[in-house]
Amino acid sequence: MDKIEVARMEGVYFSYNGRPVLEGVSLKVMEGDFLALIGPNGSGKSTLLKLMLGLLKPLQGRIWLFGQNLDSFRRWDMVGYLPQHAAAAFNPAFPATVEEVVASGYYKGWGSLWRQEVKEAVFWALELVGIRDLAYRRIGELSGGQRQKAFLARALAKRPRALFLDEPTTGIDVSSKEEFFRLLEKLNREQGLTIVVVTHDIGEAFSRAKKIGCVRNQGVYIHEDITEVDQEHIAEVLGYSLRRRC
Amino acid sequence: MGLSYILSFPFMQRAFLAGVITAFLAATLGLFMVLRRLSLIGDTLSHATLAGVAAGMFFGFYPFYGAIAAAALAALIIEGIRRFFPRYAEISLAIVMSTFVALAVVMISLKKAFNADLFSFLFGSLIAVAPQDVVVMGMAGLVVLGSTLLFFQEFFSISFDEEAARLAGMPVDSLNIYLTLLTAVTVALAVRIVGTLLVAALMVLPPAVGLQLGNSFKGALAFSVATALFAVVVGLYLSFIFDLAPGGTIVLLCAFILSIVLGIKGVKGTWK
Repeated sequence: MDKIEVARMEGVYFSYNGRPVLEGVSLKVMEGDFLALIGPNGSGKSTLLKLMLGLLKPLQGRIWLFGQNLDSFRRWDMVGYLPQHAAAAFNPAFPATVEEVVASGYYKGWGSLWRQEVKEAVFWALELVGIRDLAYRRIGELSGGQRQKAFLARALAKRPRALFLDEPTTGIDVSSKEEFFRLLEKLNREQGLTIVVVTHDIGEAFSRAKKIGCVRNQGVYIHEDITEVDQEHIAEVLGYSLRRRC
Repeated sequence: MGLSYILSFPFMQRAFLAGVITAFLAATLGLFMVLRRLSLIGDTLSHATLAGVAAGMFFGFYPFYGAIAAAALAALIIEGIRRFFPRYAEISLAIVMSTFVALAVVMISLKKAFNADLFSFLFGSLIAVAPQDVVVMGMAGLVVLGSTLLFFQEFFSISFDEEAARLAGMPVDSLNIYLTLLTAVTVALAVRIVGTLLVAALMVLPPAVGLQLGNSFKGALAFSVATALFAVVVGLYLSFIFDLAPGGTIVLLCAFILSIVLGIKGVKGTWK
């Protein structure tokens, strides 16, 4: 059976205040993919992710999610998102427990809070990411790694079919980063969850992801076969050397 | 002098009823405002109600209705102006507050209406709460309370993380406008009891206590509401007994509770 197309972009242009960031970008994300988007700072990785999710509007080009034009897409329960600032720029003084934060990701229309299914979804997601015992702790009291897992649980509570993560391991320690990516790999392998992650953790990206997307020079090149990407190429993508091009 | 004696006066029955409604709504909506870093919106909306009161006096309709309409209109204008200054949201508050106060001053001076009725809106009054005010407050209070319960998760989400709320499928722009409108109605209702000049305090001080004591959002909300209810009931009682301005008494009680909470936490922190 053919795989479902989770996200597709065709001829997408985007600029910030007249400075072109992406020019004529086209790409596809298929069901079951684990795509890591890498590139130097300011290359447009996060912009690309936000365009895919409709958080930014392209100047030109078309974007589809699950085969539906983004403008008319309403099935947000199929899409999980972990924003860049979730743990790093989060206000630790916000008076919310882990349970309350995770519940905010499970939205089924008016009066959602009072439904029993919300509680079930919250504890299912907390179990999945391994922090069920932290459910009633205040979110600001958690370590960076635990907090990021809580935000991941929020994105997973509605059981999405695709998960988009924007630099999810910024500001957390090395062992927590490894554990976080191991968890993503497990979700992709065992739950069949499609994953698109923007990251600077090149080592984790190469050891866990199935595909690598190089974002630079206002374009994107997707390496379908991860073995074709060598260290010299990565260094070039990240701006250390300009001897070869994607 | 017992509470039962005080409640034998019909005007005090109305004042207590209106006060309890006001306390509940102000503490709830105030918490959302504080968490959205919009503490000053209460101040702006309360000053905007003056324009509605002045319009009522100028054109001859009931000023309390004018206050509600002016607060709602000011809320919509604030949301509209914010779109033009996305990085300077507080500009919209300053613009709306000064414009509405200017409008109020002009209408009041034209009508030469610096009278007791106006002062009851500025400083709050126990005897000024008319039976029709209680009916309006009860109905509006039910709408605000019902909406808050129905959209509790949505309001929590847009206060916590607006971008994630959008991706969860919530109509964030509409929710922002609706929450601001509910706040506007709450401010207008509270003006009758604590007065224009002190409404903002009733919407900020109880949530500040809640933020200090609550370990969860619902906990912070419970402490916020409890503080406001305590301050309003005790404040109205004291203001009747000692003939004090009710708004000032209520707000001073809130500030007293907050200072005790901060003091205890400070001492605990020092001893740790």
